[in-house]
Amino acid sequence: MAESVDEKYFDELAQTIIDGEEEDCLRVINEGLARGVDPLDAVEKGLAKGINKIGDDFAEEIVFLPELIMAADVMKAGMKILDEKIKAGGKERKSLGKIVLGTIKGDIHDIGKSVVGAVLQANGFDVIDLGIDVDEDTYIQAVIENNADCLGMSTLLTLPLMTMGEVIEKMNEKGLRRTVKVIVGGCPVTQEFADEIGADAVGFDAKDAVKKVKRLLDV
Amino acid sequence: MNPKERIISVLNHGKPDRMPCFGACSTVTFDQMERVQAFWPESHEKGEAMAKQAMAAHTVIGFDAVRVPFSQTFEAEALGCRLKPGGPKGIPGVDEPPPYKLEDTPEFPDDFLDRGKIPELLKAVKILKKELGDEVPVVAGIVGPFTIAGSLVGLVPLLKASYKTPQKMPPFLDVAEKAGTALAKALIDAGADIIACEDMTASPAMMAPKTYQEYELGYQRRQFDAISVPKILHICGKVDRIVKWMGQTGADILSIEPKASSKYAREQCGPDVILMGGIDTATTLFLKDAETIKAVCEESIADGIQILAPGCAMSPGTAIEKILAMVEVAKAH
Repeated sequence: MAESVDEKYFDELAQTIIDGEEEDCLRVINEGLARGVDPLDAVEKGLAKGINKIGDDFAEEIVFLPELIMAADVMKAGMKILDEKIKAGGKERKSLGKIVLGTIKGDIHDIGKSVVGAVLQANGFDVIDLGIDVDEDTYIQAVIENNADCLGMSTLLTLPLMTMGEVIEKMNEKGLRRTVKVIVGGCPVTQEFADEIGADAVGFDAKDAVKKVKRLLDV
Repeated sequence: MNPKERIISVLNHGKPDRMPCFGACSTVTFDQMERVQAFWPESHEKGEAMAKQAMAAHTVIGFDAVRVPFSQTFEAEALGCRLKPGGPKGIPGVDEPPPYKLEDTPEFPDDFLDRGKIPELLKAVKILKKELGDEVPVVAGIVGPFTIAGSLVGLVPLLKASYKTPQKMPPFLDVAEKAGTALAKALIDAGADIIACEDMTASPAMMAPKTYQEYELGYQRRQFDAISVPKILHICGKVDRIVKWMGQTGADILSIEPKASSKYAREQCGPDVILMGGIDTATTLFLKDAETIKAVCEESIADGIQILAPGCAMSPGTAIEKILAMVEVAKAH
């Protein structure tokens, strides 16, 4: 049956993400699974395609944050079902790398970081989201425990900026920077600032973050 | 000219003796706290400490106006939102969970002005007015309808509604507008010379420009129509896509960040609107040295900024010398 699934099906699935329509997304997924669509294909060719299109449109100011949030939510809901199916089938999604993500201590802004996490996930990365107001030790502990390839830190405020530098400093002391890349992001973060604190890259939006992480991890 | 005459001159499109310089948003820093011995969190909560801290903008920095309050929580708290304290190093914010769901009907309480910390804010304005008289204007802050509505139902639910079910927003925008307007009137009665409305959530970084045009613009117009003193509208980020409508709200002054083009704002809004801003508070004022700050300020003035100001709330960690460098540029114009 799977052979009969053509590009049209994946386009339809991608469109439910673009439109931010959770019910439609779950319906299309379930229909596909019933017809024998490989859940791995549904993630890679459907969900990822949809979220990447929204990410592109967001970067070009064709759509705005509400559309991106909705798309990320729908994608997460779809991913949950598909991941279960993938596991039940004894397979796993090929991971491009493990990323620990969090909004830094002193800042409780969640939206941007969560959207970046969702888009990274759709693009094949394992994302460990530590949430908001994350202190230095929590970042470092999570990086070690998860054997992460990359750490992502975000802030919308100015004061916590310096804490980002302190986290990198601590990672240096622990010898983690030889194996773990660091990407930073958020409204006040510039390339110049990232260079100054020794981060490897800045993600200016979700699409840019995916591009930069791929480059850093060489995947 | 004294600072008040200077600012009035700009508002009347006259020729001030030099360019005014002050903040539309909070300009409190740790250095200033030390100098005037007024500290967070007390100055977020108590009128006397708030006034003492606000005075530093004029007495320590030399700004042409002082500004209260230093957070955006006053209306939200009085409408039933929970607050997350900011402690000595941060500003309080609105905490989860929000008091309403989108399906609810929000209420505007009769005793709104007696609730939360509003009485302390009004007390601060009275103290400032008494101390500064007619020499230095008191700028008092309110929060814009979309931002308050975001506190009432939660930011993410409101943003989602703006996309999928915008018809659910007006009851919240209505109460939010009433709250800001009622607070503005009370602040004016207490002595405020200028009302600064911060509407962070109305930025195109948060909501779609068409949502601003279709929903927020009407409420902002209604609010500004009801306010008798000069009004500043501050919206963060790159506001180019909405600046035309910002110019139609009835605001006398638009406070914008350098991420937005002041040349474009002028083209879109015509000659009457006064443009305020000039320096990015994070990437320039906080992170760069005094010489760079001066150069950036000069550039902004050349682009049409008429009141030199931090583009947004200042980082409390900003060194005093850097703020003074900005003031120095204004004094030379």
